[in-house]
Amino acid sequence: MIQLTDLTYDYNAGRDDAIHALKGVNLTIKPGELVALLGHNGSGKSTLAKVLAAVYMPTSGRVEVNGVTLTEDSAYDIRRQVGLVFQRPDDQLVANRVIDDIAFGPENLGMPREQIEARVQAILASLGLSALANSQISSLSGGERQRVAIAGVLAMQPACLILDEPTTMIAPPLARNLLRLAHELRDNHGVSVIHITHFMHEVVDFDRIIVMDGGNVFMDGTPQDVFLRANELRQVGLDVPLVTRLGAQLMHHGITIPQPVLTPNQLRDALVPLPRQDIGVTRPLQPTDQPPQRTHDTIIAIDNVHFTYMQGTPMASVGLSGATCQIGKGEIVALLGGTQAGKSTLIECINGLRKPQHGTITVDGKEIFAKGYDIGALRDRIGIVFQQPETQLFEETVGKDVSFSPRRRGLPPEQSRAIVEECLTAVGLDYQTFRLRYVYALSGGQKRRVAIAGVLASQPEVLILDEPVAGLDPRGRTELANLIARLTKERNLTVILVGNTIDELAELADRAIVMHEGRVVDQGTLRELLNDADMLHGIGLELSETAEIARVLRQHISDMPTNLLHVDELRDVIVQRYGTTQGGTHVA
Amino acid sequence: MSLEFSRNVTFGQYIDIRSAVHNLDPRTKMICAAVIMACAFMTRGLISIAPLFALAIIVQLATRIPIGYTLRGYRLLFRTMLFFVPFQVLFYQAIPGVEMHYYWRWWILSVSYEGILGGIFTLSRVIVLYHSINTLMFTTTMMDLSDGAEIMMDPLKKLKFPVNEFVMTMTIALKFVPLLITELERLMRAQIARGVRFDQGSVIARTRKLVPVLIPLFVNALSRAEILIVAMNARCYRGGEGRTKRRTMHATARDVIAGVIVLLFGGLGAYIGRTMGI
Amino acid sequence: MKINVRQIVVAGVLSAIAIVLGVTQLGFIPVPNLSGSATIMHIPVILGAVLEGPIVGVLVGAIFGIYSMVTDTTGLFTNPIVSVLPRLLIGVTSYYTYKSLSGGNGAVAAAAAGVVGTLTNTILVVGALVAFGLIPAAAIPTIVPQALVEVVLAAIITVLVAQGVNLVRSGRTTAADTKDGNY
Repeated sequence: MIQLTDLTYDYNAGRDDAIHALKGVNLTIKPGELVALLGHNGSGKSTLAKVLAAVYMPTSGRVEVNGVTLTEDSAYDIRRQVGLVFQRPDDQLVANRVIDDIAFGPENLGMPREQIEARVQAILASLGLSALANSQISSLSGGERQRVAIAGVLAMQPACLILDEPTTMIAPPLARNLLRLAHELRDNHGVSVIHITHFMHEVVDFDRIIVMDGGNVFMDGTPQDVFLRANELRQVGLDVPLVTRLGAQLMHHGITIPQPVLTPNQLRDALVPLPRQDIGVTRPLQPTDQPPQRTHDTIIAIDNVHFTYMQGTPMASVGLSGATCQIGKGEIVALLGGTQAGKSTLIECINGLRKPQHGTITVDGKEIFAKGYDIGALRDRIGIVFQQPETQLFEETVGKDVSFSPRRRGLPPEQSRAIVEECLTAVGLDYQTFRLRYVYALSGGQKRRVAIAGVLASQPEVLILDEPVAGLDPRGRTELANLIARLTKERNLTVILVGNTIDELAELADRAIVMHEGRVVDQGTLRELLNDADMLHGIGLELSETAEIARVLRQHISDMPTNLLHVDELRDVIVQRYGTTQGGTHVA
Repeated sequence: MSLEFSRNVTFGQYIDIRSAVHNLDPRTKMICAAVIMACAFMTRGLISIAPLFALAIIVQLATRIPIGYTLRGYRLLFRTMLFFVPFQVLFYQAIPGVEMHYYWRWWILSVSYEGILGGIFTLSRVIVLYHSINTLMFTTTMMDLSDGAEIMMDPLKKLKFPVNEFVMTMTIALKFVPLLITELERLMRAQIARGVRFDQGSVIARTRKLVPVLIPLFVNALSRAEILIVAMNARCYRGGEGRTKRRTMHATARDVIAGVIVLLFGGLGAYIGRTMGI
Repeated sequence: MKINVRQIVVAGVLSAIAIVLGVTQLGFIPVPNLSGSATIMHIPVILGAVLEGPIVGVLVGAIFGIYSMVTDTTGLFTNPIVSVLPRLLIGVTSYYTYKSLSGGNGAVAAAAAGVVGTLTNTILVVGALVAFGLIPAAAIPTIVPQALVEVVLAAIITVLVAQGVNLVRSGRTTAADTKDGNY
């Protein structure tokens, strides 16, 4: 049992620039509760987590865990009772081998050796890590590392486990595994779990949702309670899950289903018993939506490209195995695929960063790995924004980083300045405000924009963006997606958008190329591809929430189309079938 | 410039075959390596180094590591020695009372029978030293080494020497190596994509290109350190005091036998060297 | 001696950088002399001393020394008196150099620490090699160009990294306007 009474926390406490992060929080967490902690950035949720885990000391008020009040002296006891799992597992893992890291906590507690061994083995088994016990942590995947980090905290047998935004940085399938684990921990280990997140759909089956705003508790209740109050959530910059919003809209259109609808399955189960108009075979939705078959001149041609990492060593792994595709001049292409599909390897080959062992890549008809080809000039023409570009800024100030390419090309200062100003403006950063700003003083989202500006400053003809919105919170994702939409429209660029999700970014594309296991397995418009949503799902592509709901509905509604991009289309399709009046109207 | 730095690097190169040497207690191996090194420093000439050279061959066979594989690791050693040994020979200083056999002499330079023997002796000694460390690294994992070191240094704890803290520093260093290699790759890849050619230009130009890689590497690494400090506190770390260890080590009869063999050969070499000076 | 968590972690991270510079070969700058290359692998030791004090400097030095001992391919560094001991002292000499000058210009103090730390490394390592008869004294002149390059590199990199780290720690957000004119 955790009890917070009038808890406050100030950063820079007692100083003029003190920031009141927590302003008198009162809260009780019961044993074995699965709690979601929601709130936009700056709402105080991360600070609350750190005070609970006795990493920060409260400025005033009381934290009591199982009868122990948090003080400087009892911090150590509280820390073993309340385990904190960081956003990035690499930040908290200490040892090199899985088993040694899990033993780290119990060793710190000074437990007898046999007891440590028994406990570590039990945790390895219950988290499915036994086979990896002696592996080097550096050889594990991100999802496995996260599991090890959780195991290391569980080994202390805490009463409460706090997961601090663990799903922001990882791919959706891993996020689902993690959430399943959170449920198992409550069920099998009897610990209370506090999951901090920005993603509403993750927490619909939790016991309780706590919404923070402005350093205090704003809402506290079951998912049913909280997600019924959509307007209040929007006030604090949050929203209900998409399917909940859809359910409310359907209700509005006279389709009586219990509110709130929290999952696609609930929606399906609510709809199935309702009377339905049979509208027969699915007709292709919005046939005019097909983009005109533009005749592009091919700019990049990739022909049967093979690439193996660390070839000739025991660590060899295949990245590409016969990838073939073309990119047209001025085309906007989505390059889609699950993890390990070979997308990132392919774009590194296009840029000449990796040399394929077989196959050819030509740009404007010239083979880029041929002798005498000017690869430096190619890299100026093809700009890549890599994953997590905010970690790749290397100059001290924003202006210096963005002007890197103009300076390197020896452009005159006034021209360089003009380019920097233009590129910063293009990514939505004010030139005068930001040109002298230190890079480290930027937020994550701002850094990402600077990185994009830096690539634009080399004035490329082709812009490649590798998972540009991954690792951002929903608001940051929407803002950046809008920015990229604007860039692709305003600039006469060939754009390749790499991603693992059919999201608003993929929708910008004229055409999508789907990769799987190092090959191109499908191409076409998004709607064409979505006709076979099950196939896309099967190769590890994430469907948009809309497409995913449609896919689930189709399991029982056989004429349900799945080639839907917007939730409004989905609403109309459902209203057509279940509405009391024929035909849905577009209601914004 | 290849961007594929191996991420699986550790100190040394452990080879995972379970030979008799691999199965020894890491403490035994460390002590034996130290004994061999100490004895090698007491040798004085080709005769006293001979037992140690023989021991190296026996150990090599016992590890079951292919001899070709071991020798490949000697390429750089031979290259360095190809540079230093001729110096040794050319500048050989006559030992008083020993008659020199000169083949060639000029100013302070000379080539003599004794000088050549001296050069071969230096080379043999370097090989013996190198082989002992190399074998230790080939046959022992880093974890075993640091655990073994921690147990052996246990008596130092009484002298307030922070053994646990030192081993913890080493553990954290090893943990960060693959992470920082990934970070380095990322930084260099982004710069290459923005037009930097690390593989072109003069020495000075190339070195200058390293600066924008090194500074963010240091700065980012130190900010990751800040987060790990919080994490270690949250995981209840508070120094070596009161801390226990999950892993244990047990010396067996085999370790005793190995120790005796090493002492016999090493002691013989050292004895000859000390008493006869040959 | 009491070593706190902060010192352990910072020393661990800096040691990791030294090792990374070794395994990726980035820490070796080719120099036109017979012995091959100048090294910048010891710079993390100097930075540890400058940024966090002598304990961190000595810890990083110890791990760098052990690393160069166990991964030696030349046969020269298998002896810990050659490979480990001089590296322990880098931390000490560079710390006291920095401390005695840090009242004035920080950059000068850091540069001096870089120079002194590097010379400590070069002189003691070469001295030990000669003392143990591993290289003849006559070979010393061939090492001079390499030592000069190392001193210069260490001075520059120590200053730049120390400034970068101190900048982050200062919390300043905006740079003074430069006359650079490129942005």
